[in-house]
Amino acid sequence: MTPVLLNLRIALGALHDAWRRNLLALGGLALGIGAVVAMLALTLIVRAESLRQFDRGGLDVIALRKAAATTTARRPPAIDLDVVRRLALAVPALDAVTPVLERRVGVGFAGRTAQTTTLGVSEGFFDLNALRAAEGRLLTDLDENEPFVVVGRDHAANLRAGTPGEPLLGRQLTIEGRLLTIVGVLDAAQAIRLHAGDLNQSLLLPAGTFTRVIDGAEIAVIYARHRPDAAAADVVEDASSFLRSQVEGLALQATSAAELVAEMERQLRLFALLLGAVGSIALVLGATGIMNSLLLAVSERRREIGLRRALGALRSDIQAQFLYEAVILCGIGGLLGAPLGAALTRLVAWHAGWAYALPPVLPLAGVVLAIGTGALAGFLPAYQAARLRPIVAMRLNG
Amino acid sequence: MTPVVHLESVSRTYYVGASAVGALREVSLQVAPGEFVAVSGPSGSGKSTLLNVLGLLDRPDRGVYRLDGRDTAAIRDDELTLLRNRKIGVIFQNSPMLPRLTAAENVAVPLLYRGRRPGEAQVEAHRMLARVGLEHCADQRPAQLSGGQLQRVGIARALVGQPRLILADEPTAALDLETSGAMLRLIVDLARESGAALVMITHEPQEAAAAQRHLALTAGQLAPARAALSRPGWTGASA
Repeated sequence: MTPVLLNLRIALGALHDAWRRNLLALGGLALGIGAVVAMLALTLIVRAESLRQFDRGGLDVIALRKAAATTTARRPPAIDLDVVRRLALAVPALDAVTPVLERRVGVGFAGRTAQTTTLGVSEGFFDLNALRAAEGRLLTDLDENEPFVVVGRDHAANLRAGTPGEPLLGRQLTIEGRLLTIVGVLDAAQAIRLHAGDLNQSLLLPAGTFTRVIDGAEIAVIYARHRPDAAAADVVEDASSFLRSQVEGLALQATSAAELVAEMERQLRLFALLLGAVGSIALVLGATGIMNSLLLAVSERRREIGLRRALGALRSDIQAQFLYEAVILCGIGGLLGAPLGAALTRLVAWHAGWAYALPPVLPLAGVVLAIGTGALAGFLPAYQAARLRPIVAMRLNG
Repeated sequence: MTPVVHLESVSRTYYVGASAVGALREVSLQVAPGEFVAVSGPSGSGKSTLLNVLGLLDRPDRGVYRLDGRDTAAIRDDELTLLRNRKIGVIFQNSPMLPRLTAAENVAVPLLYRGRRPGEAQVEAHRMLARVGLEHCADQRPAQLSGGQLQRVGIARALVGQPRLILADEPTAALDLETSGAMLRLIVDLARESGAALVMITHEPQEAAAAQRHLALTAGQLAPARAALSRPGWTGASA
């Protein structure tokens, strides 16, 4: 047994002897490490979850939304569908332009009527949202004024009214008394981040049909994809200028996916900082528990320390032994805390419906952080122990 | 011959609040290799302070202390620890032990801190335990040993490194008459074998009588003691 092993053995023995007290301190630190690991993991998961929504439509998507009227006296002017068609030609950097008209209307089917969100869109909408047909087909620009409708997955289930597999294609439903034929059912869909609605519960009509069927329907928003080499801000400016030139008094609010991502990144950084602060507080509390436990141990073991000093232990031997105790204790705390953090992350992700992911580096970082915390928490007790004079071994005799 | 202990006008004063207590006052002492010196005195006379100073556990305020010819005044703490480890063996009262180590490991501790190889240290520790008649207890923990056995382990630990100076702080105080006599003989014999100087604090006149010199410490001052009375039933140690 070398002096290093001797110090290590004494440290392990001391930890074992005071296991009840150490267990409490250890629990605090494990919770702290678990909190830090969970916070970091959840931040990554939330970020990935948000980015996944953008990935569906890409970062080169913009939204031009009609702003509310500046005065209550006048209604905001309407954008004509033809203007939207010409927008793609007027701004060459744009493609996959689609107007979106939206209204919640009563939809009749098989003798039942239900209020349903109904969208008027063009072919570009399906491309932008990366939508796929589970049955039948999607709408194209050739369907412009045709009485066709595509049904969202969940709404299709409602129409089938508990009879799974009942054919819907070719059947008709009514909107505002007009008959429309179902030509497709959407696969499970998640709209781009710029679009707030749930496509699974919606009906999708050709924009031209929508204006004919629903009185007073107006374009609420125009989505478009710009070419990757074009700057989003320039495209937004060009498109807005064109629309204002075509519609007198038009006020627009423009949003780009890139802007949203940048804003989201800013918010996530703040979120991470906040969570990091919460985790750090838990960690500091845990480390304080370890430090207190070790300070108490130094006080209790003054005689042992004095004896070892009297027998030839250097200050560095005593210091090392208490640092070993702190690092071992915190290392165990880290080993317990890392899986605790992983479990906490899994629980929150499951509850929120997020995809669980835990980069292996996070638990490892948790253990390393715990060991570093141990070195810091053990410094003061180790210093105090090393400063004890060997004379205490004699003084405490008898 | 260079004395192992050379104290020259050594003083040590403690401060209790505003008042100063002179634990050692102008103490001078020389102890030659192989010599056995007994020191006795009433409580509070400065015996422990003298032992602390001799054992390099405390530093004098004034005076000179040369250990085996080396002046200890200017030595830094870590070097003082190494010097203590190599030159001094202390037999503590009640023999405190490191509770988590076996008897053999406790005995080996001074050698390990000296940098001896673990295997060698263990062999030495077992040899020393055999010398004090405790080889069969080598693997036992301190909690499993009796008071007398602990004291023997303490003696083995103090002597395992072949120190130049052995300090004994009332080593038989907690033992019965028969055991204490055997213990004293063991200490004296082992010290003589190794040629080490032995300074023993004792309250027992019979133990003091076994020493080559018996000194009395009174109010921090050292002086030759009067002849000790022998106690009936105790045979005394060879000096």
